[in-house]
Amino acid sequence: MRTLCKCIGLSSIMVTFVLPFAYFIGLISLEMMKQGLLIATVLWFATSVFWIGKKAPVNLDGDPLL
Amino acid sequence: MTESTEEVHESHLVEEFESTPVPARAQKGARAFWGMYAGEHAAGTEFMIGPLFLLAGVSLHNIFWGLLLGNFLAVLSWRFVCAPIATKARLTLYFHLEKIAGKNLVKVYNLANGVLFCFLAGAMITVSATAVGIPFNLEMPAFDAIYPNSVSFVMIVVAVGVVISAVAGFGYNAVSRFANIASPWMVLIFLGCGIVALKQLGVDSWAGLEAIWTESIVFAQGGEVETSMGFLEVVLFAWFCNAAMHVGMSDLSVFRYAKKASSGWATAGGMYVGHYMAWIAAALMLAAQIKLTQSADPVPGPMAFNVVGIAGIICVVVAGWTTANPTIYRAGLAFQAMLPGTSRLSMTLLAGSVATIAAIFPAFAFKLLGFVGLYGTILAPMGAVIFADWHFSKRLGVTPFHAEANGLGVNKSVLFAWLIPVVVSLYFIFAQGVTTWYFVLPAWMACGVLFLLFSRMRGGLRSRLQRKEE
Repeated sequence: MRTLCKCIGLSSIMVTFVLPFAYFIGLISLEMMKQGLLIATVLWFATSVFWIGKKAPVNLDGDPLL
Repeated sequence: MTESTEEVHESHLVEEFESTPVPARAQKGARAFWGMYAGEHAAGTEFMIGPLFLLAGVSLHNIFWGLLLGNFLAVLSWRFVCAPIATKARLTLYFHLEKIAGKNLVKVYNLANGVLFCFLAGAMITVSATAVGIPFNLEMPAFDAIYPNSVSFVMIVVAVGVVISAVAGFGYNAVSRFANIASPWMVLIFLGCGIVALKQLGVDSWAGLEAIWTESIVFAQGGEVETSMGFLEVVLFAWFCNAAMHVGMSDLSVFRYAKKASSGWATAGGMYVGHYMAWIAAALMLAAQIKLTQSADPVPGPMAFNVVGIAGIICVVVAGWTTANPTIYRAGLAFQAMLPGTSRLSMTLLAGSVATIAAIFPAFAFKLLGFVGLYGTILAPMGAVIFADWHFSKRLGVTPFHAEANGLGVNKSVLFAWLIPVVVSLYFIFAQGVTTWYFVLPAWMACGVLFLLFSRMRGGLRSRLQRKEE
């Protein structure tokens, strides 16, 4: 299960990276890119919770991040 | 990237080492810090800062080269000012400062930190609210707006502020984990925004981009090109927008976990992803918006929606939310330190309330460039005290960690060394209208020199008094 989620998650993040370039060189339309990014986003968040950051990170003693 | 972030943070979970130096077994290699900085500096405010450069009339040349140099100077500051002390002392900023300045003075510094955190968090809430308002067809405030433009805007800001404050109070750890998950995705969405905006601008050369950039400035400034930021100002802004963290030594708390000071180079990940790529991408988004919709309002939600659709809205909400949360949490901790006996929850909710009230006024978000300079001017000079104490105290005959050695609650040498340059800077900023980021470096240097001078004078006076008594 964890391996499957990791594969889907990494694929979705790869798609998130590639889609804007595909639009830039004219391979896909703007609408198609927007829909693709939304699907990739949903897949990333749905699968990454199973394999990233099992423990909550705590880093409270720095400054706010700009 | 995220796994390495987890490695760094796991050590915090097991043991925080707040009042003891970090032992060798908890120290981490440089790899862990690269991912952490790259992810954490792609924050909600990036959506705001990039477009503000365009509105300030900064030329494209100055943005590309000024940010390149300014961010490099920031990386050098982390590497050669902050990290060497962090990897030798291995203490948090507050514990280190307490030894020099005294417990009570650190509380005052902490309060100043907390109040400024609230206003930063307010800007982040405003950023999130601009995205949340899109499905409701919310009319966004104009760039020069000081007050909210509608009851709907106030209601959405309050709703976002309440949720963020409540989560900061009750479920901070869950948000921290969520931020960890979101950071690689956010970086790529920022990159995507820039690439799509570039395509929408329809340029195929540097000259074409420069021409359309200048046209955008002309449109945004109502037919004129007036530049309030030149090359030097862009360099200073990029260098000092995180001044409190590098020369201000706040990141002693982070680098005390580093095996070597060379881990300070890892901050380049944050600077060139968050403060270079993301700022330029966000600036290009506004240029594309001007071209397509003839609107020069730098409102992050609609800008991101125009280029990458709903994923952009999610990115703006997540970026604002995940950075506002720890900021409100830290402000709550600062208030709690000032008011012993109060609960962390009540102080976090208080900080959240102040941040939400600030968020109602869009001017805080739209004046972010100036506010960031103010933030550095007030907080960063305390880092000079740590720097001067560490490198020069023994050589000049001043007792290092003076407050600890003498059991002082307030080291007056530190108090006045901090107050004098800050008050002088604030006078020029507010009474004379001078730009804030000119003052960070002079105030930092003046604070360090005054600290050594006052410490030496007080030491000499004490010796004379002792000799008289004898």
